[in-house]
Amino acid sequence: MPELSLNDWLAYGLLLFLFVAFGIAYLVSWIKRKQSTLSSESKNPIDAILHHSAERGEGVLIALSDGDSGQIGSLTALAGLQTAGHVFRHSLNNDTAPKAMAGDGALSLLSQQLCAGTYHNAVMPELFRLESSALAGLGSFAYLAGLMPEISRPNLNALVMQGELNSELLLAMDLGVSQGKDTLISSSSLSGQVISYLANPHSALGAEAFLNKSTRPREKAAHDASLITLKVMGALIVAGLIVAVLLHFLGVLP
Amino acid sequence: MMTDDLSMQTCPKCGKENLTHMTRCVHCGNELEDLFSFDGQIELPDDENKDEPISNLPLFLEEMSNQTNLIDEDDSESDEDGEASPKSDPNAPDWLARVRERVRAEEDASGELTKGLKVIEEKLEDDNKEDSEKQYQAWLDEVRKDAEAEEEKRARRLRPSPVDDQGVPEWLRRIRALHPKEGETDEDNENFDEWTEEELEALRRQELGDDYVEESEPIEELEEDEPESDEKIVHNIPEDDEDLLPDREEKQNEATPPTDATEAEQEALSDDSQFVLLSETKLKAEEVFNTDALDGLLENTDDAKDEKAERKARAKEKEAIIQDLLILRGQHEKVALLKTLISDESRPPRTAGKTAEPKMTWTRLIIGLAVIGLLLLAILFLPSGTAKNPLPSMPQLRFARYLDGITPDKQVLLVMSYYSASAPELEALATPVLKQLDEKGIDWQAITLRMDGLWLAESLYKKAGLYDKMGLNTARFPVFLAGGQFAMLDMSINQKDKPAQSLLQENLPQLEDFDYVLLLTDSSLTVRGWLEQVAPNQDSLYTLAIVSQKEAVAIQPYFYSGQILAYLSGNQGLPDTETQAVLNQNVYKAGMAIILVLFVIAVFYNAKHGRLERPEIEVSK
Amino acid sequence: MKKIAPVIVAIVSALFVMAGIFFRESLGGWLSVALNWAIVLSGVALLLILARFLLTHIGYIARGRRGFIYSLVGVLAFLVTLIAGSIMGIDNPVYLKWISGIMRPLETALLGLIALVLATFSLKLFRERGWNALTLSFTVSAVLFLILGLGVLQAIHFGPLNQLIRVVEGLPMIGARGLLIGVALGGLMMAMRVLIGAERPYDD
Repeated sequence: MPELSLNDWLAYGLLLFLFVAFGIAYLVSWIKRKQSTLSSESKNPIDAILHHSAERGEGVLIALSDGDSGQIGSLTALAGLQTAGHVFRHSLNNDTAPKAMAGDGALSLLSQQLCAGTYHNAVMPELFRLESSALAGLGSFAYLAGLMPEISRPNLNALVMQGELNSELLLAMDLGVSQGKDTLISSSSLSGQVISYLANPHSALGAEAFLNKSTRPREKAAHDASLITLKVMGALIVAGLIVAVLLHFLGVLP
Repeated sequence: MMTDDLSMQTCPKCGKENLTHMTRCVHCGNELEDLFSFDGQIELPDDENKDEPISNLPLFLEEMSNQTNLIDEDDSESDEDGEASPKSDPNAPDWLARVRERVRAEEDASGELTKGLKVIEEKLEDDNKEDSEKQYQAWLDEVRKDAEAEEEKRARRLRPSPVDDQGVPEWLRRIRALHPKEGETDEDNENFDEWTEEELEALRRQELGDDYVEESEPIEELEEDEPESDEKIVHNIPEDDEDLLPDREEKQNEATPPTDATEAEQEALSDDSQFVLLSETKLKAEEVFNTDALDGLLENTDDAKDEKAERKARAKEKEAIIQDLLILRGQHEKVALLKTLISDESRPPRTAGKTAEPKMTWTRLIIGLAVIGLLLLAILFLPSGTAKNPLPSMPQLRFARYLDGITPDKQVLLVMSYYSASAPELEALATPVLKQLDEKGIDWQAITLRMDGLWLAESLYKKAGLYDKMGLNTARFPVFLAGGQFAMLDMSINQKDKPAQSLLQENLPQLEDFDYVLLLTDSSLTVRGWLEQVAPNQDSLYTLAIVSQKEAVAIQPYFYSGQILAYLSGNQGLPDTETQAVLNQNVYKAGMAIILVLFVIAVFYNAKHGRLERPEIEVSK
Repeated sequence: MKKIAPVIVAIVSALFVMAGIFFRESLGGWLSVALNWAIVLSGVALLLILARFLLTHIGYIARGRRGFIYSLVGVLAFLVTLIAGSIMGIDNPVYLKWISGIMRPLETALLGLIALVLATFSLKLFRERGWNALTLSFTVSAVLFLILGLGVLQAIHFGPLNQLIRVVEGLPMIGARGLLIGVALGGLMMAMRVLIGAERPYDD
């Protein structure tokens, strides 16, 4: 075990507190799941997007991580998969099936399996198509190059992007907006968040990039627990920072 | 396979798989009725005439015979003359007694099914049961005959009815023959043939066929169909009788040409009462059957007037009933929509193929062309600025200081992770650094986290003037490290002096051998990944970074927290003239000035014109 | 069992990696093995999806789907690059120069386009969002940093002004820190959810 400094102990203490807080919040949310009213602002429009696409008979394009720096198995990519699963589950009987595109091979395969499993669970395996998930391109620019023709498809209603997306996603978002498509972006990259928020007020900032919408009880409870824990941790960090600043001005802290 | 536990069937048309219980192929819409089956279903032979009664099918004999036996028990209790005489059964409930009474009272209570089965049973008893082939053949012949008879009957229905010498169609003659009026003599109805009761019965049997039921009472409903002389009654004609239209139209045109008053009254019927006639779009008012021709044949007698009054009352009653059957005007559109939806089933959506036209905005094109044009002018006409940066930033100064502090006995690991697009910017920043390292005799090993590094390294070393000096120093050529963050973590935990366990580890550098790591990247994710995965496990490794301008802000917190010693970004290279010489500072400043001016113009323009209303995504919590 | 097995594998893997990082001396070797497996698996997954990519686009070409010309270009480029790399070797300078000559201008053009689009987005900000705290603060900060970028104020060489400029240049870090803290917390939440099996993004 590596030697731990004061900072390390502080960090681990925070981590432990976070774990305990999350566990308690999850249990409470699970018990009170029917009364839940919590929601993430960046994910609220997704249901409206799904409704519009169902009414118009058009599809939804889900853009997952762009595979920058060979990043594999990142947490935001998993969050993007969750969102993709939600979209697949709620678009089973749509005229145009949704499509997921990724910049990473493993991510593409995972989304394909997710889609196949969703149709299988709904006893509609014949509706599953292998083209439901595809590799757009490896790396940010190749990913963008592969994504843009898909955005220009005629029977597309919305573009939902979630994952580790760099500032290059701006082009894809701009194309979607100019073609009148609903866009929703959640990027874990700082530059991606800033740029997407500039263009779309519904974009995710900070921790919202890891949140997703779900109607399943277990996931809904976890989502609510995350929101509660984030609020608690946010308050704790702000309080700690204020105390640290005060102590710094008082000369206690260097 | 995901479909292992679900049984599938293949569509004969498109060859794609469908679930067993599907009646239509979900891909092409082809009917799968032939393939549709329950477990244990008895497969019945194809029946051409699906309207044939079930009694003609011999295969359900066993099942139905049980029912027949039950009914036979009931029937055996009845008298020979058919009158109901229920056995006195004190224990039988009242409802059962009533049912038995009714069975005996009505001749066909047991239904045609059992009648037919009885017939077949009798036939079977008579025939030689061993001769099953003959029976089957006989059954087949019977089925064929019935089918042919049905076809003939259908064809006869559709055939235009023959007209007699006076031009009265056959169907009208039949109606008159079936319902002769009191006092109506043959002289008045010269056009009618003399039909006897037997002939009329035979006619009914012929027309109705299997639907024929012997009637003991004359049909009264037809009397209500007789029109009033002073009222125009419009009847609904089903679409199947379209073939009758030409004859009717000719006769109506000859006898009573449609008048505006007639049309107006019929429109009044539609407008005032808000009722719409069925098949309104297909038939016009004058094509609708009217009984004006019959009016002329009726005598205007007192008796007739009384009858007319009665008929009027009955007609009103009937109209009230008919009106219930009509579709309201507002529902007509819904009916059309429902028909469209049903017909569109299994077809590709209407929106398929419809292209969403992208909005053509000239603003962006103008702004882009303006910016590009002005920058081109700046590149062409402005001198290259090489002035020293008057106020270098703290990261810049720190970088220069740490670079000066690296001694020749130190080892540097160069980690490349950037795209070709960022190459000009990063190469301009990295070139002086590599030159300085080379001049001091400091050696470095290069690795790249992206494939791009393999072809970008040559450009980098050429710009630094080191490419020709590389020679046998292959360590400076970057090695591709596959796996991203996994590879970084593997590298950090990989212990020294431990043999490589796989091919992937053969080229892995041992981090313990290095003192400094120089990250050359255009992505803050790479820097973050390195600092999260590698740095905590390698306390003795000092991290320096060269990043592109757009990611510099994301690196700042790491610098101020001490995780990165120093970094260079954008046009803020080493604080000397050499870096400035690579980037044309004047063009850079000209670009900044252009954007600033555009910004100010945009602010004033938007202040004047206000906000553009755009539909937003509805958000419901 | 079908549903539980992936959850168990995910949780055990995550706990194993965490243990391997904390107890590197004893578990470091095993962790390295597991990481190599993950790297190999990701490579195999990439091969699979590339094959799928090829087959899909060949299918588009064969069916004459709308826009099949792009698929044709993509497939041809892929095959030519693959064959040339196999024959010449990926270390061949000619091969690398050829790839660099194609990739560089394409990516640079895209990056230039991003810059232009970003500029137009910022110019349209008021039209889209109207006047509010966000747009006003963005405008003020953008104008300020553009002026600072020109280097005009720095050339004055006034001490307090230089100090002020340094402070202003450090302001974006505040926002970046806030976002980074948020991202870190969000990542932790996501990890928690996956660890306890509440979220199973790998499973339907």
